[in-house]
Amino acid sequence: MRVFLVQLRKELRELVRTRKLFIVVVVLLAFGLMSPIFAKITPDLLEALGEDQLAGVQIIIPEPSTRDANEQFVKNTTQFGLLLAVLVGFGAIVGERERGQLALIFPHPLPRRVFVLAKFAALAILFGVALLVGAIADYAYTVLLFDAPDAGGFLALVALLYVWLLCLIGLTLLASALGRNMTTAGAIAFGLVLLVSLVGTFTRLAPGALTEWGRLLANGMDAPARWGALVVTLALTAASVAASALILERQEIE
Amino acid sequence: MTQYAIEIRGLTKRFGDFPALKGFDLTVPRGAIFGFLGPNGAGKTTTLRIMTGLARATAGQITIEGVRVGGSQRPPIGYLPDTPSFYNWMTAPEFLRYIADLHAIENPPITELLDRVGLGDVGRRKIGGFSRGMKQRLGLAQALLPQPAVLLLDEPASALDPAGRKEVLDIMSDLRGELTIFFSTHILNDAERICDEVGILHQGELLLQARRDELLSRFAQPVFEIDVAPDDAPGLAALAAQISAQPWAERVTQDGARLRVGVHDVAAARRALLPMLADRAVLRVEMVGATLEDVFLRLTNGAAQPVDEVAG
Repeated sequence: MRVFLVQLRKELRELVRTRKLFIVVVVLLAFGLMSPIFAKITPDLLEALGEDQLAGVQIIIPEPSTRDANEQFVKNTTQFGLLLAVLVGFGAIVGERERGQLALIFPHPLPRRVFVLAKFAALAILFGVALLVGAIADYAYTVLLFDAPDAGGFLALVALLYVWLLCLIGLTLLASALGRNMTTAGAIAFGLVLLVSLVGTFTRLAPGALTEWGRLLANGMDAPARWGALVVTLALTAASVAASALILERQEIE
Repeated sequence: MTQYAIEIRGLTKRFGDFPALKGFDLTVPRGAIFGFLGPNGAGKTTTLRIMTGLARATAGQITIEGVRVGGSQRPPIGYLPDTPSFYNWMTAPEFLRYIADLHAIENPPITELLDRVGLGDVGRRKIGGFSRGMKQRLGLAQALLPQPAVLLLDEPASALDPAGRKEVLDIMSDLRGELTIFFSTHILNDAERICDEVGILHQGELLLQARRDELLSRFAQPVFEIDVAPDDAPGLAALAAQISAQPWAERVTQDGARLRVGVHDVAAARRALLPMLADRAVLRVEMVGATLEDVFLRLTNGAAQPVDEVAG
């Protein structure tokens, strides 16, 4: 536990010093802020477009609501959360191996499984903070521009989005352990995430079902519980992290 | 506990079908500065990576201070890779504090260590801005921080300029008597300068292991050094070929305007060599003792002696 905390502290400092924390927080904050604004101005934009280019065509646009703000938030966070999780995570292990940093630190008393766990924990904290900041910004602007979303439902949405992001981080770490270099690790990471997304089109047990479940809960709709997807997502996350540790344990470090 | 700090038995490493290490034995006495010599690709780094747990042996066993490498206990080692790669966003004291925390050292002597390796004045500079020599010295500091019984160094000075090499070798010399140092190098002058004992590895096989002085006397071979004027240096290759063809000559090497001629028969060489130099702008002809380089070249050119003939 002591070594884990030492390593976690190092990882968190690295995220701060290399400005990864800043970038991820700013991106998710920006989309948190913009989601309700986009929802608000989209009808006006479409109306303006209709006046200029669609003469004679009548477009009926319903009045924007809290639901539209929530829809925008889910769409933006899943798209950019996915992209950020892969981009920030795929070099986490392979990058240090390729640069030779692992050859310097592994002869010290740092078990490889602790190294992987600390990487995962640091990325989980990073995305937890960024998602929370983005969600607070989104909630505040939604309250300003529309009616307040159902707090319980919105909280459930954020929690489910976080579990979904943790799974992406786990898969990306696995890719980082598997890849022989940054390029292959990046390709494997995008491949794994794409595979999991594709599987989601065939089954309600895939991680993607969580974002849909959260969206319905935030909109106060009667949502069928997706406990199976939650269990599968958590299991897939744990299996990815465990597999990353196992792979790194077996690797010879150059 | 044995008298040896390091004991290697039957160390074998294969990469697919390629035998990188061919099952050699080696022992390093406690407190020695041991030079692990060999040309590039001999298997030195592979051996060190196995000693540090970064790689696994195909067969064989390594024990360091009585602790088996790869077992449940960690051997008391400090390790410096050939080109240490740090976290560039850290400062030197931050990196050493991180290493100290991994070892649970409560009051690490960070300032003293940085002073010792000549980095006492780096202050809050990021490691990313360090020169190669500074990184090498910081690498030595991190290896020394946990006060290891055995220091393992992979080509610690090979990539440095002459000033940087001298600094690192001086630090290693200053550590004599404090701990056992095992370092690999292909620069034989470095080994000759600070080693007590050497092992020569060639194509994955240990050609010999011996005390340095014993090795030099065992393989002592008269060598004539011939220095010519720089203008005459282009013609030295032809002269080297002419000398090599003589029955009394064993080996001729050229280094700029200098020829080194190892001979079997000193008397014959004395009689024949000077007339061969009559048309040359000779600055100096001197008979000198063999260097580690002479021994190394002689051994790696196929004249290897069995290990047990030489080992002390």
